[in-house]
Amino acid sequence: MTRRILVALGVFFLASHASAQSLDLFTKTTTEVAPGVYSYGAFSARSLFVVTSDGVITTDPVSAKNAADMRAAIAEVTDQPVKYVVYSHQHWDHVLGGQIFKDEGATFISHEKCIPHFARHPNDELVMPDQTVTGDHDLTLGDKTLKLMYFGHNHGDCMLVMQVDGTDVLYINDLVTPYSVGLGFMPDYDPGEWLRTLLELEARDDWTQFIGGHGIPVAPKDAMVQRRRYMEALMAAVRDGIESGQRLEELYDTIELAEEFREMRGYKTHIRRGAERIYHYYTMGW
Amino acid sequence: MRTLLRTPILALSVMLAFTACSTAQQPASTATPFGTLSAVTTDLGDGLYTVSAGGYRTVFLVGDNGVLVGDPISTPIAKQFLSEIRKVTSKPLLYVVYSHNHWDHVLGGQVFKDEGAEIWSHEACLPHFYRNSHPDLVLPDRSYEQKQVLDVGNAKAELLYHGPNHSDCSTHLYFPAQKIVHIVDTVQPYAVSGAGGRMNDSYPKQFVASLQKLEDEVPFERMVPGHGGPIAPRDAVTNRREYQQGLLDAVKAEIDKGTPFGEIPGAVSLPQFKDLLGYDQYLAANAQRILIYYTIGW
Ligand SMILES: [Zn+2]
Ligand SMILES: [Zn+2]
Repeated sequence: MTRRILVALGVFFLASHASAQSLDLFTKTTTEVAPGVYSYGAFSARSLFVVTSDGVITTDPVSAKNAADMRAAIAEVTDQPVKYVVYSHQHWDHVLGGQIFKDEGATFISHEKCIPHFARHPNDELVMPDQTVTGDHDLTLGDKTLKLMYFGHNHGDCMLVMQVDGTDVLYINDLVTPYSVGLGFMPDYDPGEWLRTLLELEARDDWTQFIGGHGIPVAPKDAMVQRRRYMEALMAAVRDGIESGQRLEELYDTIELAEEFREMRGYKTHIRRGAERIYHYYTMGW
Repeated sequence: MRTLLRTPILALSVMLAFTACSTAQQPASTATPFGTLSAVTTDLGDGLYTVSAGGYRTVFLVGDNGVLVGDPISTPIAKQFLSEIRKVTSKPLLYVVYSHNHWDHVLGGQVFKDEGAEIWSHEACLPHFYRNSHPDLVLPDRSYEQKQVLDVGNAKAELLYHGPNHSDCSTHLYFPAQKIVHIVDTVQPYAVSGAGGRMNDSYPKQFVASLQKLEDEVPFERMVPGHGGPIAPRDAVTNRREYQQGLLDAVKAEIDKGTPFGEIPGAVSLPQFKDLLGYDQYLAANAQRILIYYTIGW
């Protein structure tokens, strides 16, 4: 059922009438985005792996099938063993299927706040982390250092943003799916903190491109700016609606953002439930 | 920190009241299409009362030493509740117990604090309160982990935690002498998932386990909800648990059957629950939340 789940998420994240039909969700590719730094995956799910002088660090295995494919892709660029697997966050559509890396002796790492989620929602395909980090952490292997950065509660409460030291590429997983609005309505998302996280990331001048957890192999910083502006526009529209006395039902039926945002992938499918999530954020404080 | 909005609370209560029970036993003069705007108190026996206003409901327990009260809701509603309490007793307020973290239930606590009350919540509410502060939210003075008994003098309330359900910090407030439990938002008697089924802040699977634990461990006979009519039989809890399990099973069955994901929310049907309030309107939204649970484990 794993592939069906990926199909489902492909649909959830990417569905948008015309563009979705021509989209190839499943052809996996390996893209070197900096020396020894690779974006691996398909439109449906994507991960980072890093080849060092002393082994490989990979990130989200996604599923057993994807992990096997990724292992083969890694073998095409290096004979080195996989020494570490770092989970970006707790959601099953990114963290399942890591056993193949466990079998070759890899150490699994996540933020410590992922652990209660994993404990509460057991899954046979999930390899539990061996180590956890509580905040920013440098993971050094051979000649490279993967910086793990924690920005607090945004897309869930255990998201790690990653950057190989000295490169201008971030791995930010679900914080931004390039040129998409994303699944805006999930309860573990904190809209205000998410916006703050994006603003903090934008303010840094040590990167120019990023790898998301879904979508194209690598995207320019502009794609994050677009998503941040979309969130601001959505939050402003909902606040204006509330302040002018609109009820949730009315807002839900009438929400519409400026033309520039309507072209983002998933807009038609998710704008209403995105607005509803923001409504609850402003009225219930979560 | 966010810009704070106060106006939505009424809008929200209006929305919630639509889904609330309409066992209209309030005087006609105060009833509106949106519930009762002026406060109405119901005596549940042995010092326990429930009071509602503006579509919201809380409880209060009067003992020899003073009073324990549930959610304040908002500053204006807390004032209405206080004047209702003062019609029954002049004893000091000893305790306030927040039902969970949502602002539409927990604002206005200062009104009770000014009467001397100590404010309690489950400890898992605290991170929510720290992250999302509000000028009308008084932080709890005390928190508990699994169970806390509060005694107001020959009258006791038990604060019970049965795990995540509608939120991850819901207190089931149990009154053993009356065999009545106060459950806010997790169970709205004989209605589908709260706030019209669109309320996403639930833990779909733990929800069932939480209610099962309550049913297994607590010999309650009736419940008082956080919205709508004053009291419902124990069966309302069982019914809500069975609806939730029915949803989980039905969505899983569609996944296993190979129904295209986009079609699953619309394909789910639970005819045995068709009489629940909000069934026609919100079943698909409830099912969509379950579908997400099965795909990302949250
Ligand atoms: Zn995610
Ligand atoms: Zn609530």
